[in-house]
Amino acid sequence: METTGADARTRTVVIVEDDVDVRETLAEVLEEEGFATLPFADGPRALAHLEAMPQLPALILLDLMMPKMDGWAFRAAQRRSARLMRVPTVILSADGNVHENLEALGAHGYLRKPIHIKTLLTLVERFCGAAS
Amino acid sequence: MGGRAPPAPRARVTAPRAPQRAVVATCRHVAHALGNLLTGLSLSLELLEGTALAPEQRRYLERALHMGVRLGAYQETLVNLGGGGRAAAGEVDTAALLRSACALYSLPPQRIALRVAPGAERTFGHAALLHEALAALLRPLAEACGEAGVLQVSARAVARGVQLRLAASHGAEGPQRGSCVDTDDDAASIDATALLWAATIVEEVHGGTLAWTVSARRGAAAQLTLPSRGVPA
Repeated sequence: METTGADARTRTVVIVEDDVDVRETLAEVLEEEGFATLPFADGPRALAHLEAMPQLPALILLDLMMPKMDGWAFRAAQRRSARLMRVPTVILSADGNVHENLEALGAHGYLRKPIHIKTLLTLVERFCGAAS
Repeated sequence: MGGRAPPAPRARVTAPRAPQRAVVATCRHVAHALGNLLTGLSLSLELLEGTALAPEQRRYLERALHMGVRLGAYQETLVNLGGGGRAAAGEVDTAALLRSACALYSLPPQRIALRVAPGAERTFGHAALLHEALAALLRPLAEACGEAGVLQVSARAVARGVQLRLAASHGAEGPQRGSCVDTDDDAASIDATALLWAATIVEEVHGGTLAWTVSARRGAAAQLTLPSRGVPA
């Protein structure tokens, strides 16, 4: 049975972020804390991989402004999939009004850039449980 | 025609012209880029903070972290000017505006004396731009506050509109008359670009007035007058 809960085996975080420095640094921070990460530079690749995963991740960190497929389009595609729509998704954005768009995006939280380690880990642990 | 009074003048709020739209789009673009750069920078520095460092290295790191925080404040400026915050013109809650500008400097509540007199509760203008003008003026005053100083921020109604006054003064046992600086050398000084920026926003965009005064006895203070129904550019 698939699970997206805070199970030790599923403490995997998918990162969808086009900026390479942000993507790699987020992955490094989370891996230092014992999480497994799957970073993607664009939405289409992330969606294709998610559809093929036998076990879904615990969380998706999703940038809003990306060139190929922005966060809005990603969320729309994700929500059309009965399987993927169950994965909690947190928005990454520099926009001062990002909290106003959470309902429209159906997102479970947001991280406003610039992101700090403590804020990131507090949010990730909420969905993935405390790191080992 | 009979002697009908002409209609009361209304504040003119026009749609932004193409150059203005280009500026807003540029701000949004730069804010986005800065958000990513600062995320990479702050996360990397914070990772370094968790490692074993010599005292001198830790000092350099703390300075870098502090610069990152200051850069973040300028990024916030661009977010606001790019329409991600409060870019539209309209009625502005004076107390909320003053509080948000003061909040940039992380002073504890007892170090900020904020007073909005009756009649000055609302003003009119571009909240985002006014926030930036106030922040630019408050910064040297907040720095001049020192250990025990108090940032005195007040608003009152005047014939023309609303007058805001920003000053730094003694505050160990409550606000006192006079400045927390003893000599001209200690007086808060504002750099020319920040003053020009604030003046452009207050005078050119809002049709108001701005005065920055420094005296040996009273220290530095900024006084802004905003017309109650200004004509935003």
